[in-house]
Amino acid sequence: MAGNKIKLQSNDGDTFDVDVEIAKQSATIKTMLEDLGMSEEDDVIPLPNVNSAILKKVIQWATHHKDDPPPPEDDENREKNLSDISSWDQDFLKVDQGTLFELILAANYLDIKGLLDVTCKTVANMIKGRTPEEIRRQFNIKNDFTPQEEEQIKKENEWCEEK
Amino acid sequence: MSWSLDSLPPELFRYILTYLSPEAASALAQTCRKMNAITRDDKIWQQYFFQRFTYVIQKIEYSNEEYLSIIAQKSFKLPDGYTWQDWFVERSFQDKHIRSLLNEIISTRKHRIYNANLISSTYGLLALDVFKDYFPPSLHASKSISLESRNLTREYYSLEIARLISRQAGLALLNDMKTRQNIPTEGKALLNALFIIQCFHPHGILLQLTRLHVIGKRIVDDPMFSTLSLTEKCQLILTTMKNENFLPANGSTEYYDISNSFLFSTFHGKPTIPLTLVSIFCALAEECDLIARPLGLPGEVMAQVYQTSASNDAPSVLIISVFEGKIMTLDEINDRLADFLDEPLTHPLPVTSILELISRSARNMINSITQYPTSSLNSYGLYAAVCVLKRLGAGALPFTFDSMMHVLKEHFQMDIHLFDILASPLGTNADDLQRIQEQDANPPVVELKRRENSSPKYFIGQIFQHLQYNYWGVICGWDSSCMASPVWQIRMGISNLTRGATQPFYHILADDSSPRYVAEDNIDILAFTCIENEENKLAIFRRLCAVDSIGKQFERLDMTNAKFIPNLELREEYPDDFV
Repeated sequence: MAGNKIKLQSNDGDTFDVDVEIAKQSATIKTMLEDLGMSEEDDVIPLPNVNSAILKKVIQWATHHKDDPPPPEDDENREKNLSDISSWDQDFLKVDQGTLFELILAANYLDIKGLLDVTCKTVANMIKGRTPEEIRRQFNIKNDFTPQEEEQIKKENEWCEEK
Repeated sequence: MSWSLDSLPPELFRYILTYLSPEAASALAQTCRKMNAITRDDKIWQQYFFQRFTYVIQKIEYSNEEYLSIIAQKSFKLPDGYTWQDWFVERSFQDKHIRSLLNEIISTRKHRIYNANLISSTYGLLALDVFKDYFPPSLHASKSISLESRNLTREYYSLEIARLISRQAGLALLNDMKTRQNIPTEGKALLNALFIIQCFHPHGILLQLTRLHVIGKRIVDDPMFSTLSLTEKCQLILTTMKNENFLPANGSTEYYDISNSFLFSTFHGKPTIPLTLVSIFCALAEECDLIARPLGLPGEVMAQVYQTSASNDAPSVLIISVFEGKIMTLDEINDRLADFLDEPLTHPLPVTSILELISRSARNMINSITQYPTSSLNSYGLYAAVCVLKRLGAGALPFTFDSMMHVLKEHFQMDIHLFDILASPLGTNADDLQRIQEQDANPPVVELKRRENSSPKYFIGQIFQHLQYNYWGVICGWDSSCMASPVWQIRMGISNLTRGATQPFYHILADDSSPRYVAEDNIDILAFTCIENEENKLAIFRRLCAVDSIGKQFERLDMTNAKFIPNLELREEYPDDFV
């Protein structure tokens, strides 16, 4: 089986040849192959939620991470560490926000925990330590509060303090 | 298609929120209406709550059913009418108050005791959630922080107040225990009694006993277990205890080592006395659905395990010397104790009550203190023992109580309110206590130590080696000549020194945590810079930073200049030593 390839098809019709082992980092694809008994050689797996540019990025990411150990289980009771993104991943994620969000959606749809983790962390890092106004600028969010609402919400969040 | 943050589906957005701190989520909530709505997801706030807070109640009440160490952390119930976000916000405001009181305690001597007691009486265990972030790194394995970035003074007071809270909890539990009529002498209750003593240990209430759950579960989950006979089950528990490093004290040095009377040591692999081993045995037996009770004998405590089904004629109770790791017959015990017992033991054997057991433990501790009067844990042990004996009325101990008053004035000034409860109103020490309180409200003016013509050579904060005894220490005060009593001077042979008593003398903290008074002639200040191996230097730094009271005088370590930076108080007293 080693070295076998499958074909992945993006929603805009492009087809990619990918090593089975690399593709199986996606739990979604893994399930399709194993449970649905799809034969690996000839069939093409259609991925209706992913366009070709994003699929290309996802394959690039999965290829680089093919030998990673499986990601650890989440510990809900611990604050997550945002600073442990590898430098390769940091470079890989130097993309515009649209691409970043599409990668999150793709990682979620394809169920690739490692990629979902690192993309969400990247977004979290863009929010962390910023004031509301800075976050608005960062993500181009329009402030639609009335002055009264804004006052009220500010009050609700007074518990925050510099630690 | 244009993408923006709020176009992510809600379940994914919730996932991103789990990566944010509550503070970042709150900033996000203030950006626009949609974000505000999304960040109100209370499931997320529940998660934030438990990431930040461990303790959910102010005080523990005594229980037989559960280990006391986890009761305060267990309730997942939300107070009525609250959302998790409400509760989180309320706790955050309380934390803010606690932190501001802590800062006041650190920065001014005035009302230090008052403020510490305000924290412990208002917030109790909840305050531990603030302090735990400031504890020395040795207390939380997950956190690594460089020596130089540690704020030693904040560590010191955080730990001191945590200890106060822990002792307060211990005293309250003792009261609970006294008023309860029927505490069964078995299983977890035994261990909980020892946990009350543990509350007076420097690591106090932070000790977790849940490991016993895990061990017990492992034993019963083995399908073989149910097929074993009672004897085999008991033997399995004994072997498991050995494998888990619950070991008997070996010889009188270990037996009378006061630290071995605290569960903290036992749970960190140190050997211990029969009473503790029996309690652990009984708790494990309970985890395995057996009934085991203590049997107090002269000089030893054993366990008796009851046969639950009376279907056969086998002996209905097994006697186990947990200390020796073996099952004993009644005859063997009677033989051994022939000289101590008025008449031989017969079935049914007496069950030693919990109150008797905990008092016995307290008396053991006092014995240990008498045997080894210099142990650094003695003040903590004496405190625990006096509280237990005094509170449970198990024999008045006037002499220990008097030494306790002395220890209190030396080491536990923050506890005067707790001690008020213990002391009799007509006690001779009421004046002393009042003086401590008055000085807390109006701290006496500190006499400044200026450097004039006959200045000492060395400065506050410098690290040195003792020329004769080779230990490492930090200078934390000086006198331009020896100010100690003539008796001390004779005992220490001061006249044998070249310059005798007329040279500068230094108050120092040694790397074994003891405060000492050292002549200038005996101070080798160059020794440290002469060390070539950086690892060795680091080891000395680490040892000195681990000294329990280092933060009382120093704020941080300056590794480049190999010295400690005095905190505000010390700088005020020695204005010329720190420029």
